[in-house]
Amino acid sequence: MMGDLKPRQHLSEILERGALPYAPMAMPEQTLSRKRSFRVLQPLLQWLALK
Amino acid sequence: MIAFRRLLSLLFTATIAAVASLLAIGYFSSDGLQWLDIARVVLLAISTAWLAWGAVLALNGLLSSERRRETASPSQSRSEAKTVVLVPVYNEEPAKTFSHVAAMAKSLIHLGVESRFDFAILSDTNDEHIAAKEVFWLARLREEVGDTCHVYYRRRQSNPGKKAGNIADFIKSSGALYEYLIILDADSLMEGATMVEMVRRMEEDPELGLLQTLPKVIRAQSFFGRAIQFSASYYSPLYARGVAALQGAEGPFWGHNAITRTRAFAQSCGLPELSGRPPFGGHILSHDYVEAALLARNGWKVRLDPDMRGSFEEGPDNVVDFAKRDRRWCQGNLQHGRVLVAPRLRGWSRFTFVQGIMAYVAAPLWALFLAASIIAPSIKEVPDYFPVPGLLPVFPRVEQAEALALLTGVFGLLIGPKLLILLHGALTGRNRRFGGTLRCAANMLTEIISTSILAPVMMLFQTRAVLEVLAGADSGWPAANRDAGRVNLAETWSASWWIVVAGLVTIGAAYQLAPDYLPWVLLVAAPQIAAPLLISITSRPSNALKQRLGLFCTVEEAAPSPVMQIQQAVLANWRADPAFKSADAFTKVGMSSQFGSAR
Repeated sequence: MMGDLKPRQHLSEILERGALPYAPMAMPEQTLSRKRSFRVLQPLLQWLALK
Repeated sequence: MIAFRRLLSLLFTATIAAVASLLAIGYFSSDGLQWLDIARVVLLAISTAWLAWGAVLALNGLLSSERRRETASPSQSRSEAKTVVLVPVYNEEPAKTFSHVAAMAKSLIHLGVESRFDFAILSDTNDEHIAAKEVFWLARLREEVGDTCHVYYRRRQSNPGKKAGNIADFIKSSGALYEYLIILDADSLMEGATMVEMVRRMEEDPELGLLQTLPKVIRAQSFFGRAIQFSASYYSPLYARGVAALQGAEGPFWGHNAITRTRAFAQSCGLPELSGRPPFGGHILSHDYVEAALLARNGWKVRLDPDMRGSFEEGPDNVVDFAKRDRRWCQGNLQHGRVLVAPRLRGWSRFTFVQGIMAYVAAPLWALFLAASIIAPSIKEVPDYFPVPGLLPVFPRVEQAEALALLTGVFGLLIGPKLLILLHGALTGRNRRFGGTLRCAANMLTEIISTSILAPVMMLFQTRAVLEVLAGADSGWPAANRDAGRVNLAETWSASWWIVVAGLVTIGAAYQLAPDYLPWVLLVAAPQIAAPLLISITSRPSNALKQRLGLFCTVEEAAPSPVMQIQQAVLANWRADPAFKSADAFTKVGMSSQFGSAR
């Protein structure tokens, strides 16, 4: 019966038995924002940079 | 085929909106067209388009034949793939949540397939007292299901990313062990046979990244809750068929009661934080729609199978809790405005975000239309009855026919699909499962009347939610109040006094500015003035009405699914056990700090 549980003794045992198995998997972060593209302005920016 | 269906549906919607606009222009311009009339026409066009889209979903559901996919018996399903059932919890009542897990595990054990399924309770609970109870009930759960079915438990010390972060954390630490993840909510319940069938369907199609079931709402007690439960049981399957027919492989993910391929989910659904602060920045609140869009972006199919039975959830039992949940969903959906332009998303995924946004923006649009209609008559010029002096007066042309057609059209869009579902049920025999066509008609009428009365109240709750989000207020992450039932007048007053004020202001404004419209305005304002009373009354248990009149009876109530019966028996057994009371004592021994470091 759970009523008989001795909290401190059982606690670590309960959690140990319930611990998740370790088997990692990669979960790369996805891109949701658009990088602003200044393609139209690029020649102008390059020209200015050269100047 | 699907492109044609989508095009036709969009055309239908656009046509309805155009017709409504033309009728409105005809009616509003009878005494001269002003800038406010133009604004009213635009508001009406958008709102009507949204209503028409709802009708389109129902029509698609009715027109697409009920495609019941082949369902294998659990014993026929020979898959050896390992699946984990994820149960994310956040300050939930552990005894109840864990009894759901026990029932699902027992259902799998009964089928003899428990070795292929593990359960993982992923706790984000930050209330130490509840967290301690979780450990207590974990032990009780283990006793209940035995050693044959693995039940894991882990608690995060902090909860970055909230539910999405909780699941991502599991995948990063333990995902490689499992081919499939069944993602649930704390109140979800699923038949073992349904889980086995979900795995079989995933195995059948290697390109399928996520399979969503249509969960039926169960265990509602109040009038309000049971009205929603009836709608979900009677109308939703048809609407869901429409959604499935239109979304195809870019289907929806509703965040729970679904299965996903771990590899696909891990590869596609690592969610970044959005720049800036909440409500528009920070972590993604309504992660499910975004995850579905990301899976589709990576070429995985996301499918809704409405024919899948044995999938259940619980819902809010009163308007206040419904509005609280809606506030969170509103923020999540409006935040999707940031994701709408994400690169490489499928067009229909973007359109799904728009639908989610419209679900909430529609309310303030209707409120604006109402306000504009009250103000409009007061700024109209006084008509010139004698354009030619001395002759007979010329009265302005009042386009009653246009107004009537408009009104009928709007009501038709609201009620028409439901009537068609009733007719469909009568013709196919589906109504028999709900107590026959007469009972269905009576239930439908009661549902339409009650939701129509509550609609102006819900409109203001949603309008406020949208305005709060736009003003930058964050909803936070309140725990779901799953067991709250009846709310008394004091509680409803504190939640809805401002709706009463809004109703009174509306009546005052109509009396001053548009007295002719007062009877129509009363239809909207009167329920708002009575909001505290209505919310309280509809939160009362409706068991007597159910037993005497069969009010809002559903298939799940008439014949509860085995897993529902097991869960109820387990919880009753646990609650009768003296251990239930000792749970409190157990949790007061001060071990929170110990198990807090269990990770």
